Amino acid sequence: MVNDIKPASATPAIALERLKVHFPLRGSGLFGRHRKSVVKAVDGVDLTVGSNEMFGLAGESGCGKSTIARVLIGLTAPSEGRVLFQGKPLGSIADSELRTRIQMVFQDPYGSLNPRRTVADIVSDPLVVHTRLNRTQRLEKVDELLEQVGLSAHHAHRFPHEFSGGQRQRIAIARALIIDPGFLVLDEPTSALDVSVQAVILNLIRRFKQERHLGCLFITHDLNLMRFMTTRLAVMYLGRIVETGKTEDIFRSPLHPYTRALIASTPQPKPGGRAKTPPIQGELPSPVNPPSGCPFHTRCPDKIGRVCEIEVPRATMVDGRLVACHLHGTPQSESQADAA
Amino acid sequence: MSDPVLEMRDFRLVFDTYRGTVQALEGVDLTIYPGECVGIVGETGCGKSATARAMLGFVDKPGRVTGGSIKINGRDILKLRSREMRRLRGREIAFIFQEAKKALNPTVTVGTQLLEAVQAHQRVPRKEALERVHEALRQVGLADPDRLMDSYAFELSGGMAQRVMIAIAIVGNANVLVADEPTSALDVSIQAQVLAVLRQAREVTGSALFLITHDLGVAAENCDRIAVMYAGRVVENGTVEDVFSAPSHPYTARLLAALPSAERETLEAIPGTVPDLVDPPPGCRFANRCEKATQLCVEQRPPMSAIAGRRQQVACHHPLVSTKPARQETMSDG
Repeated sequence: MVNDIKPASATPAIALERLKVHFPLRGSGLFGRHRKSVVKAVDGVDLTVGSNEMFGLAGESGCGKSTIARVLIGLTAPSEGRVLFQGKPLGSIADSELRTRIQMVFQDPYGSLNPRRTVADIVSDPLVVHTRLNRTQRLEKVDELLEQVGLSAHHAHRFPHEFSGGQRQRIAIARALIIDPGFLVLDEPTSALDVSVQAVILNLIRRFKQERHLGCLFITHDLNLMRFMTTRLAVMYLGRIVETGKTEDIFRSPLHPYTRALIASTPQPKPGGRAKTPPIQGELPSPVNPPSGCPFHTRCPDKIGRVCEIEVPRATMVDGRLVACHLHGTPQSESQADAA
Repeated sequence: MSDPVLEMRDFRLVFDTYRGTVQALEGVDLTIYPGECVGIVGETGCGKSATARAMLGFVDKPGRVTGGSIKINGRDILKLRSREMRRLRGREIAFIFQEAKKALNPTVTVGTQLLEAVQAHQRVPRKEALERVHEALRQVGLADPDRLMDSYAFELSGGMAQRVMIAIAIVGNANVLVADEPTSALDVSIQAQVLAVLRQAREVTGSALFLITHDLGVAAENCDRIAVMYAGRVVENGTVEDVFSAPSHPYTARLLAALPSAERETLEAIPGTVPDLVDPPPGCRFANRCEKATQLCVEQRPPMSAIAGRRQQVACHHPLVSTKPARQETMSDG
């Protein structure tokens, strides 16, 4: 819904054009004979991520952020729209090539490492698949990577169960980086970790991004984390992007009512910030049967009227970012933006 | 100040495992006064959930209480028989579990469980019990109580299930509630709603709340006081304002410095790991990770001492804020 603002660099690492991912649901009745419905997990997303950029994707569960991650690494096929990787459509790039260029770090380090294989096997796998290095060369590379993520060579012959959550996530990062991908998809990489461990992993990710000039798509529901990690971000709601722009701008003056509510709902670990009345009432509508018009109109505190129920708001450039909201559809909405 | 509704003194809990005895809680002191909200914060494995569960007498094998007392309204629950303890639960102290959908009974309706919470303790006619249940459901913001009472746990969303859970906890008018990570499975917008419901319900019932959370933001915005736990001990407690603006235990300070925020350039991780509690060090349990640690810290357990001019206590030999008015510390606030 939002036509994205282009990042500074020339060819973006990733460009999504009107991306839709719809999952068919089995209909009701015996063997699902009646009325088939679809879950519109991603429903028309435009997005570009620069080749040396930490781009954030924020939103609550079910908004479609992980589906986008899966599309990027080729685990889920788009239903409509295009995905361009460095200008080339995803379909024209062979899977094997794609995976040497995009890698992913998954959310749960307990589920993403095979418990029956040693760390050396896990981390060197991408080399086995994608390179012709021999075993000695591979192990050398593994040791080097383990060193870089803060583990040491003697960890290589251990099994995942011997490591803590933070250490496992380091292993996952080592595996993702061993074939030098240009782009990294990070899907809630620290949400299973304690804050003191999270700090280590975040620092590590930031260091690698700097050193290797990685483009990153950083997915998280935690806005405090988002603010710390990313330079630009998109906020998603029910499969659509509601606001995209520079992280700094969005936090300084969120324009979309959902963005504003999300920021206000995020608890701040600071003294003197007593909890207020919750900014959003009601629950997330079902993505099988999303509301007509603006997907947020059922919970929106600033709903204008019928127009929100009927018309899907178009993305409009306001104050250097793109907002899909009827409040900001017309020029006179500038004053509203300032009020926020 | 009135008498505390719950007072935990020098509480000790161990777990017997094949590796040896895990000293899970070693001398935990916690106090809560009527109507207060006290947060218990700390990282995974620090003993916050074990502490919370022990308050309701939920100590199952291999867990074993080895010392201390837990007084609820003046009565030591560790001395109660299980039948007496059952009568206390729900009436004087109630528990709110983390994953409400799993904690609710999947085989009976929500209504049955709510009514059970009332009728387990009082002989009231069904009609009156129903009225109370409806009242509780209204307090947690659940519209259409009749339809809701006929539903099963799986039909509810996470936020609704947690509201039902809170309704069950408040319907018995317990004066202490213990909530173990009540919102960590929920989205932030729903979390905000559930926390608001919990606040509003407490305004009506006047019950005190122990809020166990790993989220320092949730603690800061909802609690009056917080206790920071580390490796089975409370290392610091005080008002939210004092602890967050001037943490006095090095662990608290490091924990706050590890939080991502816009103002920070890099995050400071805490080096090292938590000691093995099967054979814990004799001194301060944070000593191996603490930059201020001395020989004294390694050898002697620091006692809880009060901080001058504040309602704040710290268990540290070298606190970041002076513990005695006489001693001048050059350290600034962590």
